[in-house]
Amino acid sequence: MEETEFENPEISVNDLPDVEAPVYQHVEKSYRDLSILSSSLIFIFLLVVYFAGGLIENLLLKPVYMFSFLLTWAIAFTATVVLSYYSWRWQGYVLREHDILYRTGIFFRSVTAVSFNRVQHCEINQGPLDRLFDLAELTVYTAGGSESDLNLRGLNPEVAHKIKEVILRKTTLDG
Amino acid sequence: MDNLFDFSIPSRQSYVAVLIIIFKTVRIIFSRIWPVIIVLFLGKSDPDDEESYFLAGMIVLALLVMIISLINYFYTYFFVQDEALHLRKGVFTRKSINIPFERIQTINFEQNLIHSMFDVVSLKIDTAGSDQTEFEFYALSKSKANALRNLILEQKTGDSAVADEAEEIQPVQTESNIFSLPLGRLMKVGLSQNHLRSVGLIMLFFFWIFEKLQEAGVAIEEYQGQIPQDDFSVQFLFFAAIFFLAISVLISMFRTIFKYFNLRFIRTENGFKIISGLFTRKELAATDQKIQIILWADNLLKKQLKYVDLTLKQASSEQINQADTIKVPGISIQEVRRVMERLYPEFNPDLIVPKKVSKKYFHRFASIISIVGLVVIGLFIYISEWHYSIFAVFLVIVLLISRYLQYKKLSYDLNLEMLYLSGGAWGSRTTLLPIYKIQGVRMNQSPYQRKHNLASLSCFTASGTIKIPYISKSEARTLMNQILFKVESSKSRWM
Repeated sequence: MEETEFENPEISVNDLPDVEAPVYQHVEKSYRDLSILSSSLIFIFLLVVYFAGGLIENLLLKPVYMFSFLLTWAIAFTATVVLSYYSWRWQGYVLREHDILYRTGIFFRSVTAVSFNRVQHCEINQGPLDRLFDLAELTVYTAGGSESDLNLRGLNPEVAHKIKEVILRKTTLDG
Repeated sequence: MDNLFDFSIPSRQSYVAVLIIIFKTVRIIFSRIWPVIIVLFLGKSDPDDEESYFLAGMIVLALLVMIISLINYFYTYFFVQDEALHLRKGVFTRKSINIPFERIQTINFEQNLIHSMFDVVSLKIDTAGSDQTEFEFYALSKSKANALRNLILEQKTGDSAVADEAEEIQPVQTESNIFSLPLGRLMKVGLSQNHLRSVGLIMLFFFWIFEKLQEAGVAIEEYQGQIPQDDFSVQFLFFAAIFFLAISVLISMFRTIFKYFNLRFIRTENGFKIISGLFTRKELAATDQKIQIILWADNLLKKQLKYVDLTLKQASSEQINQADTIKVPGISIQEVRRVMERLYPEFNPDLIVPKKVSKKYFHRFASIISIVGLVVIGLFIYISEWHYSIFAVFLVIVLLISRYLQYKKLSYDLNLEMLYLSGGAWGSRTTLLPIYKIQGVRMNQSPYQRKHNLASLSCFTASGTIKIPYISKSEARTLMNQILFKVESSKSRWM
């Protein structure tokens, strides 16, 4: 876990710490596998549902329908896997002296910043799939509504706990 | 404050509460049985057994609820101890709740006809946090309620006096009237309301009646035959439209008068207070600290009448909570400035230098809408649906014009301590907030925006999100850095 040191200098705009300057920390590489696996599960489920539906309504098993469904399915599946594979590269976080930055998205990119003195509380979650890959999700809650809550997925559980501790310490310090 | 009341001794609410509880029950029962009364009035036979059993069940249930509420009333005591409001209730299982003053978000009064007859108010206390510790007093004598509120607010601000600069500058004057709404102006406000809402209400009302009548066993289909079928001429439609409009205006007018009658907007020691209402007098209070955003807006009509609606948004546990919002209708821009002077004494509105967003904000939307529109229109023409295609052309034009107006009006400024955003298509809408009230910032970039080196910025606050769309990437970055710096270096408590 890296903590970048920053000054909080005078008000001159150009000297302010820049949200794009720091080196973003990647989440665990196994998160990529996790997201590929979870989207695969969803797609397999869709396939099963289609053919189960086909048992009831035979029309679905007609070659024309089946072929077009399979084609769409395959394209969407491939696209999702490719996206999950590459979006990992754009996903990252930085802990700074006074705030946490989180960057995500491959086509639609976003950088979210929450300063520690505005954090309400933190939560660590580990779903069944997370446990399989030994990953955890850290959620940082603010009073700005669910849209502004940070969801850091794909963290090593130990790292998640460390980040949580840092945030809570800083929150009491800054708040 | 006057300590006429000793709140440390556990006491019950006013006895008027009994009356209020009974009144509530009667109202619930009445709203259940009135369709049956209509059925009897229409000369129908009795509703069938199942229905009347159901009705009887409802009444019994309502009465049961009433009895439980009454028992609860006699076993509920409240008192103040250690800067917290304590409640003790329950007959068999004793429950005690304590709400620390600092957790209390808002204390609001309400007075309906019965309340005002006995000079009592109902008092609603909202607290921060997800655990539901709201509490409502049915009835409390007005002076006692005031004393309780003052006690809570006093101790709340007592421990945070360092935080709020606005408080110190504000001279010690207890209450002063900022704005009141005379009847003539109230009528104007009523006229310039959004009448579409009234149209929606009328429709809802008709559906409701329809449903109730059906529930009550009236076969509405039987009456349909009585409506003349051959009269749907243009003339008829025209008059129907006029009639509908008139009714809508009338309804908005009455709603406005009921809601805002004798409105008084008051500056209190450390906040604002608004009292209004014809039959039910409602009182809403907000401290300066709790107010996150102020915004004022008008529409085409209001612009002609030269006034805006001012809204003070408070921090709330749920993001958009109408109940915690103070809305002052029919206020002039000069009066808004007076509110600003009091709320943000250090802020000078003349220093605002509005900056425009990129013209791509319009271009992007225009090209997407035009392409989609052309496809749809082409499709309609292809299947010879002329009416639809004309409607689609009209819709596309309206959308384009309103987006263009939006683009023209959209401007923002980050002025030392404040964030300012102004926009709107047909009317205008201006938002203002101190930067330190921002909880989080996000910069978004779509592929298109990346190509043109643009970005959008979202600022999250405890009462909604403010979005600055389509500004240059470097500007967005600078703004984000500035906002973070302000938030992180500010020692003021955001609430």
